[in-house]
Amino acid sequence: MASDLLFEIGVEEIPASYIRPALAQLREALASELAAARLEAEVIDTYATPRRLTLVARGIPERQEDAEREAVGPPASVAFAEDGSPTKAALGFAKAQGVSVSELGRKETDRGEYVSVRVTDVGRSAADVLPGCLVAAVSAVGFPKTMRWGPDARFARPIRSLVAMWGGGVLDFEYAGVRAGNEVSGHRIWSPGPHVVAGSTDYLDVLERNYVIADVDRRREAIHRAAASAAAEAGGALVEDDGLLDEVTFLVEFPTVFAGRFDERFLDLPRDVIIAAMKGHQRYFAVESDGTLLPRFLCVTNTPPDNIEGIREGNERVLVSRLDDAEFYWKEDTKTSLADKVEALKSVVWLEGLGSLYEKTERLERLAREIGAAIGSAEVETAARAARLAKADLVTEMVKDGKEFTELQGVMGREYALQSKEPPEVAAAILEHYRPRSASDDLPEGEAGTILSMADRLDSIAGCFSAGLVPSGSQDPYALRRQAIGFVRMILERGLRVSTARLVGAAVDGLGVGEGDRERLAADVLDFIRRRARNVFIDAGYTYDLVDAVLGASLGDLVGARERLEALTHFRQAEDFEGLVIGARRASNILKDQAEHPFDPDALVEEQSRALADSAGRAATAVSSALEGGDLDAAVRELLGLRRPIDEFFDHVLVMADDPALRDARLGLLAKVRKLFLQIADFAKVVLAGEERTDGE
Amino acid sequence: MKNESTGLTFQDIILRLQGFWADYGCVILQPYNSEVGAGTFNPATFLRCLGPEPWNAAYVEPSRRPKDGRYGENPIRMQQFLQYQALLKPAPHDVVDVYLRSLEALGIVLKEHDIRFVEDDWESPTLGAAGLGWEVWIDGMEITQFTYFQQAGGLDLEVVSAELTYGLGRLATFLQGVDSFFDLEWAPGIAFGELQRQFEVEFSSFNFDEADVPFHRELFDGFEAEADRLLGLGLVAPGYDYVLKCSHTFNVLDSRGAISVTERTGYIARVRKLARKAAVAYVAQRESLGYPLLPDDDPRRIAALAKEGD
Repeated sequence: MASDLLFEIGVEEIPASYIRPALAQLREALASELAAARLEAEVIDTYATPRRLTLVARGIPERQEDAEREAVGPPASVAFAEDGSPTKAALGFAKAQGVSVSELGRKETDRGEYVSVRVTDVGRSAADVLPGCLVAAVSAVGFPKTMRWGPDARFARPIRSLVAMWGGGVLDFEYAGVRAGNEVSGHRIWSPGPHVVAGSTDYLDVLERNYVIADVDRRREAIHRAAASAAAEAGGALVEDDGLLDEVTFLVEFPTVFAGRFDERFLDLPRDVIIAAMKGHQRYFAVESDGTLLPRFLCVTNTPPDNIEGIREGNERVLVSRLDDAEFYWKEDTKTSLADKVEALKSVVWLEGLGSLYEKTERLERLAREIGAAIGSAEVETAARAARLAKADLVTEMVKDGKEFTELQGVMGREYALQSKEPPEVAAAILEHYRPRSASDDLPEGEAGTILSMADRLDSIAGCFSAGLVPSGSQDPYALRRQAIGFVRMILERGLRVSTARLVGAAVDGLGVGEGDRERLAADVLDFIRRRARNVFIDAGYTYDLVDAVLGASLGDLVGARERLEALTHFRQAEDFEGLVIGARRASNILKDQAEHPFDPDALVEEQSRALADSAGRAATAVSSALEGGDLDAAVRELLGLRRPIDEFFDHVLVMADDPALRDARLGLLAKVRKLFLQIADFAKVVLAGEERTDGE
Repeated sequence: MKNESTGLTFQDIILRLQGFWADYGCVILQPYNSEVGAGTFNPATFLRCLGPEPWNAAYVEPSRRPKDGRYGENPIRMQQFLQYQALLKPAPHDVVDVYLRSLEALGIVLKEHDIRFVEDDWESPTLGAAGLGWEVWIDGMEITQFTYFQQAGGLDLEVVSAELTYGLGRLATFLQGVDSFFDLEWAPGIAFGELQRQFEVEFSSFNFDEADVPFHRELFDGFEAEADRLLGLGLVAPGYDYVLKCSHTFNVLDSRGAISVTERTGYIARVRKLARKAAVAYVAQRESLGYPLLPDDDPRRIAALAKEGD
């Protein structure tokens, strides 16, 4: 009869953020082990607390199904003598497979005739097979950091117990020096145990009686419900925070929520500072009413509600000392204006070998003006002022704290800017210039913030490249790739028509590198951005070959590149597209190793050459005006019109003629055609249906 | 929070912990007589955690962190503070329970509090040491750092130790229900402030304003050379002493604001290199002594003695 497998790994407190990923890995590893062992479960449920990772695999059959397989042995010529009698090889193979020699058959293979036999693997009982599956599953789990604690095993924290039960019995095995059994531990303090369980049926109940709620969703919802009602009782509403709720769920086994109080005078501090003090270290939730914080906090304990008064007082005292720190920092920092702090950036190294933050500030100010001018922004002055102040919060006491308040860089810049009576747009741009912090993070909303964010990223990339701090492989300590992706996203999502090369050039100029290095540095940075742009386009759903074709022609302005990509994608299925690509490739191949030849229509003699020259000339004019009018579809349509004259040309004209004058004229014609293509894309890079992907990057 | 009625003075707390860990089987040691940044720097931890020999020890360690000084004005930040350190090698399987019993020995009724083990991985870049573990919270206050050592002196540890470091000041504020370290009652009628505040004022002035920078730079260079030389001679204990002097001198220079971000990495690397050299020398020394703390029939001891006999 099928029955449930219960498997609990009892551990010392695992970091909260490790638990969900570990559960998912465990579940997946067990599912695949069970499938491989022909013992598939109907469903695998998971449970977890900081002290246990649990799987319940339901409906595991009593034994494996018998399995038939063909065993192939030695070559027939080796297994049987010429007279047909079996050799030692045949006898050995038969014995190993548990059959008699007379049962052996023969099988034709690529390498000749071999001895073979069909054998039946008789299914083993689940109790015999499951231990191996469990050991394999627990060995397969990885964590961001693992540790040793004695036995020859690694895990996030020491494994102290194992529960492994199936069909009412304990599965017999050992892992990490711990023997599997039928005893769970309860709450560390309220009911440590050990407590005997009968199996999956009473597992959750036994735990709950011993102050452990193992069901993750239940515990999470219980905390949320209790927090919401505690907030309501405190006269406000819970400040929702999904990340915090998730974390707290994995910090406790038996939650109780209480509301604590702090002195109202702390409400003079900025909201983000108060929340950081509560959440950053103590993991408290905030309470608000009509969008304003109340002097209350919600703490989730790992206790039953019995002795909450003392616990409340302790927590209130701890929070006061954190808020005291924040208040002290705030008072110190607001003694001078944010602008007064800029000078102090002179003594802060930005990156080794790259000067001080003050120097970076000066570059940012200049670069923000240049970017603003390049995109025709009306907010150049706002952006430049914000650039001046952007890094000043890094020398404030609050941000230098080194603990929870350090995360408030940018936020404190905004707050101190407002305190210093800077315009709100400047304050907002200071905050926003750190965005986007990840590939999916929001972009700056304001234009000044966008300009400043772009300037900061370009300066960081160009600066690091100039110091040789170039990302390679998985090494990208200054997150330059992420910064470049953010830069590309801002240009594309804000539709900024601006030459990437011009911006890169401005950033490189600001670094004051030697004339000899300038060109190479600018080219390297541009190529780096081009490759990030490639990823952004591919992630947006464009096919990689069209992206390569477009970016291979020119990076130009990224918004224009997207329009070219859009048009190519649109015409990809058009009748002449494939022919045009083939023609473009032939032209590219021929031109590959040739010096550049001038276009001289009068030197062309054949009808097909002259016809192509005429068509190309007309198309060039039409493409130019289409591009000017922003009608990319029309431009591509013009190029498609060249397919026939190109085919005719290649069908009738041998480019590499013996006569050098004639050859040069034909090469000149092809070069003109190719140049025309490159205004849109390097068509030769397009991969046609049925071709192998040749991904160069 | 005046609901704690343990009535323990600061010195009672120390005595209770000494008693608890002595009963457990620890060697009760005295603080090391050189400036250290934490109990971990005491050779009873840093050196003894290396190699295969078992070792259980506990001691108070007055620890110096020049940068944390606040001229005696901050209630819980000081340039010198007291740690209580227990090192259990190898880490026993029930080490967490043992730790909780030590809290009970201080009169803490566990069920009356919210006790939590919150992820906190520890690392000392100057010692090349690292471990995984937790901060232990009681009602939201961190009172202990609990670490399973993984590395020391840049060497992967042969035997994993558990290091329990109680912040005695915080623990005492919790037990006595006061808010400031200076208000703690050290002995009947004697406040911690009486013992410590003037030191805080003066040392803060020294650490932040008065320490002679060129002199301390010279000291660092000299201590470094001496440590390197002594360790090269196999004089592990005096060599390690000079490593400690380097480390503390670096901390003074750092709090004095004399070390730029760029230089910082270099200084730390120089101390770490010496710490590694001390660790390697110590391991070799214990092997040449035949690992005296291993049982006579331990194959590692037998092998070490045989090697020495060659």
